[in-house]
Amino acid sequence: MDIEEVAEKTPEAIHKAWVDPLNGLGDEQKAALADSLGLTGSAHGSFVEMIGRLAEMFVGLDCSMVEINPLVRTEGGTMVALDSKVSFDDNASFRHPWRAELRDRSEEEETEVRAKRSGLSYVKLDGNIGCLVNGAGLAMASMDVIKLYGGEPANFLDIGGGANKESITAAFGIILEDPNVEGILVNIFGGIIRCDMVARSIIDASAEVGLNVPLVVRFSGTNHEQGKEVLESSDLSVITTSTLAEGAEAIVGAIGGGD
Amino acid sequence: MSIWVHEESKVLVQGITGSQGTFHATRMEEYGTDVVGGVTPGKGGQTVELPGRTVPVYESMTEAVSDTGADVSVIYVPARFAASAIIEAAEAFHEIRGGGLIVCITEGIPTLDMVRSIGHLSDKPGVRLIGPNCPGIITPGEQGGCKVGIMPGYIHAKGRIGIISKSGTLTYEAVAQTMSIGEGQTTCIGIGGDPVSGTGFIDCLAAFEEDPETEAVVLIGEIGGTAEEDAAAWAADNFSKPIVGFVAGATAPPGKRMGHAGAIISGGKGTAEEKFAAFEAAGIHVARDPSAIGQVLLGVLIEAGLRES
Repeated sequence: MDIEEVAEKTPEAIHKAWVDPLNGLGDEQKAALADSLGLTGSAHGSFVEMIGRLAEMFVGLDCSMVEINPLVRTEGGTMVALDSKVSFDDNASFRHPWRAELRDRSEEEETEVRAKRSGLSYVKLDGNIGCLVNGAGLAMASMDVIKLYGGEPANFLDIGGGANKESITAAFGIILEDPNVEGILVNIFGGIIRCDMVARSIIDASAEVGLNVPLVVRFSGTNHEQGKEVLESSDLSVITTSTLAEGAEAIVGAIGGGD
Repeated sequence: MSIWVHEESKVLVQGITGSQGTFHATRMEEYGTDVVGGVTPGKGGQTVELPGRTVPVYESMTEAVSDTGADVSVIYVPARFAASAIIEAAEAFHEIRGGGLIVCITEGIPTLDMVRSIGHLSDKPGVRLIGPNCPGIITPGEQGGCKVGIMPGYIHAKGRIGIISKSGTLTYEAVAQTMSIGEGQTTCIGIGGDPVSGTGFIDCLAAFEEDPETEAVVLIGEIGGTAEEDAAAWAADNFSKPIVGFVAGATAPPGKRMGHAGAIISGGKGTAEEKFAAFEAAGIHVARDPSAIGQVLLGVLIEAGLRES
């Protein structure tokens, strides 16, 4: 059964029960769900038992989704799960160390896993302008502005609040592994992170990874002046700007894109 | 005026003896926040040196609130203990003073822990939670002000614009945009981008509606969920001041989580386009370029007769 299609075309066919976070799913709720599916006799009892365990499993194992599809009723009146899909809340992995054994790294995007290990949040996209930003919201906004100025972002990359020279070097390495990348926009609004620290990390990283594409750096916030000075007094070929719009325009121009 | 925190707010720091807690308690005190003490279980009776004052560390929130009369608490404890810290603060504020504000900065709290924490708040109407996974809340003053969180204080100035945002650094960007047209802020709130959190857009809008000093609001959303659509629908009927809105993630691909736990377009829902459309339908002034928030706000203030040029 395609549940998304059911939700769209016949939403009334979906029955919902809200699990009380402190008391769990109540007996009356379980029975009402079984009633709403038109179950009677032993199938009713079988379903009530199953749905109760499902709710316990969801909470006990810190799931973010448990789906049974299809769920069938045998002629003998027993409910049987023929297939299922479960996803876990990664933030709760510390309570469930056994989950590590279920992990199949071959099913994961290798670069994203490596990025995560360096404290970075990375998602590859199809464009040609690499982005290195502090903060998830600002990272998305940077991609959006690149697009508004006629460019195409190559990735989402949030260096996080605890970034340092090592993680910034790792970030440059990951961006440059993508053969489509023709230029990089660094967008930092310093808060806890200081722009001068980022500037020095950029210089070191560019030497280490052999930066060979145009680089535009936008600094604002904590120590932005010092950051700019550090970059401008270095040998690095870099365009510095103080607003995001100028930064996006400069990188799109530098790779010869846009209008 | 301002909302929820002001220069008279007395602030406790939960996790004050940890490196993050001490660092940010220092920054908050430097800004002008009245940090009256902290809580770290097992370290009650110790003290922490802040600029110009030495503050006590308490064993529990009950003890800390009774002794200091604090009405605000900010949480910098590790993710696995954060939900308990929220519940402890909620119970102490509720029992001792009938209410209080809890600001949870911690990132990476298990979702079901947050569900339980929110469950504990439902019968404590005087207690408000902001966050988790957020930069906090700040009310700039004439000099100093009240900063409860991790934002860089000096980028702000007292003024008449309210700012509400799901993001951290993008909130700072919005603040810089208001400053670029010479406007300061009444209060700036980062509500966080987790799927289960405390205060939402509508709570903030309702408070800004009641605040006579707030004359316009900048609202920053991001992809995922329906909080922006809900806020727009609410604002259309209940909010009388101009709003400028931006949504991050117009270029985000579907099905990929963009940093924040809640920032995901799933089943084709939660796109930036849907949210911009909801904003427009509700009469919210849209800035599609976050670098243009200042200019859009300027136009809105002029149109509303709040500024001449």
